[in-house]
Amino acid sequence: MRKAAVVIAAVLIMLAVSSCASGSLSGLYEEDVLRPARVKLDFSGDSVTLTSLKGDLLTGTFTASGDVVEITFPPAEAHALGLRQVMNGLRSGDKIIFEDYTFLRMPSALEKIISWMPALLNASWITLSLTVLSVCAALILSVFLALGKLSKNFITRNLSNAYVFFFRGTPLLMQIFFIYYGLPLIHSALTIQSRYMAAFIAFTLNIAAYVAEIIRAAIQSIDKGQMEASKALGLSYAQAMRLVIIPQAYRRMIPPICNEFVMVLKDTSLVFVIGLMDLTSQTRKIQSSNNTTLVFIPAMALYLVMTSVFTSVFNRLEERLSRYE
Amino acid sequence: MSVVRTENLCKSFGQLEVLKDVSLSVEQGEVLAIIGPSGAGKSTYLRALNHLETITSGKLYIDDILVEEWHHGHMKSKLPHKEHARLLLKMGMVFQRFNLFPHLTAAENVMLAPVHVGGVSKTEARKLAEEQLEKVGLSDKINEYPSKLSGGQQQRMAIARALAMHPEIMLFDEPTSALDPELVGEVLGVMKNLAKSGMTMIVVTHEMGFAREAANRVVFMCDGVAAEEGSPDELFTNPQNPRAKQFLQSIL
Repeated sequence: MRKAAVVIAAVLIMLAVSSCASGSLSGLYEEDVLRPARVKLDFSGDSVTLTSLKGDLLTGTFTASGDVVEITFPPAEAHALGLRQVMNGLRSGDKIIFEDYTFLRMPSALEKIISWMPALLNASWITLSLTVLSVCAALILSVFLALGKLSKNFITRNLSNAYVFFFRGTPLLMQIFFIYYGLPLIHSALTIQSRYMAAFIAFTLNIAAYVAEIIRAAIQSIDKGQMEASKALGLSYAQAMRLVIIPQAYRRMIPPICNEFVMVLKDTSLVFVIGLMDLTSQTRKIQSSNNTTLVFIPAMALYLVMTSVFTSVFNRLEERLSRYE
Repeated sequence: MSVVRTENLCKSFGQLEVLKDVSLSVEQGEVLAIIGPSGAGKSTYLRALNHLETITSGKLYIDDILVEEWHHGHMKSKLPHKEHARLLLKMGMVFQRFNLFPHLTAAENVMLAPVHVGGVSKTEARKLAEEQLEKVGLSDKINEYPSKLSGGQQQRMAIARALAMHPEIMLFDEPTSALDPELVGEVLGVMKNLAKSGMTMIVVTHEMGFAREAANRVVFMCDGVAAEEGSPDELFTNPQNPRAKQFLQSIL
């Protein structure tokens, strides 16, 4: 399972790299190029000469079609200069002055991906740590909620039910928004300074409602005879739960809790509403500033890697807990 | 001295009266077999003794101490919690469907209650588990999980688990009903040995052979009433109650 995911991730990256790193040096440059002089482009006849600040000369050809001029430089020389861009809105004989020519250089897909990696990895860390921390905190909270839901005590049971009703019944997006922006409006003491902390609290509260249902269902799926045998042996309700029922319920909780982890991993992208840079937010930021969809490929690969880690950990756990069956 | 005694014990599930004024008592060292058609309330009676069902009316005594008294669903008196729990511990129970703890090995199943209820150290409990499992012929299965054992072995393990709490009386709720016919004998053998060793027992059973051979007294239960009570010889050869007659004829 994990191997499969890693392979898929690797294949996606390879595909992206190979499809984007072609040998052609033509492309379209669409930004405002009229900036202070660093590089000169001289058009004459059907050839164009680029002069860099250092005095490097590079001669190529161009074709004009309507408002668009496409320039092609010989690959070997262009590579030396790192040039592979095309002008927009130019006409023959125009002289265009560039601020510098680094922006003229279009790095290969692999180079781009590598250059985005630090930002993506940083953002992945936010995504991953937020997922793991909030699910773990939610697990603790949800055990109490589940036991509350199973309780015979009217108040405990209904408080737990109300909690689950509220947090499962309202959008997570609004809960995050409310905890970060809404709480301070109620009372300034409720202000949460850190966006990360606000997100952590919102996720924990939300996930706990779902996991409480998972745990309750797992506990209820244990044969009633187990509780009866425990009682007949003199175990208290709490002891029976702790020593007999919950250890058996663990195994049944594992697949749905793994599922929860994977879903939360992706739900963390909702933190963009409070301006936290998770993997999805970072990817969209890179996408819009570089105007490329290429960034989705490493981002998706990172999600797959994180998912496969969860899956393999939980598979192993399930195997280990199944030893008595 | 009676180990367990009930006076006019009644149990209803909603409108359905399952037990009607059952007054029985079991003396020290006695083996009482409860027989009767299904739905007669035999199992419910055992479960009521062991507090797995709350009784509706009547009195329950353990060691001649009034444990609780109920009147039409209202508690009239009940011992303080600690004392109540202590007296209930005098009863060990064996279930029809074994109810072993599947996530624990044979030894751990037996050790659980002594360690967590009896306050025995783990090493002592382990020794106790080995002893009890040997008694029921499972010395070689100490570290096996229940799922690896046959039904007969599982039920013997359940008996060992109950015995580890040193009960004064053992309640058996149709202990062989869930077993394949060829496995019944080994469980009944363990129970007969237990009876011989002087253990007080109440056995709800369909095994008439066992009731006849091992029981001191047999109660025929029908429609929630202890309809007839007597020595095995009396009850099996010359039942007075017409329903008992009919029942015995149909199964013997």
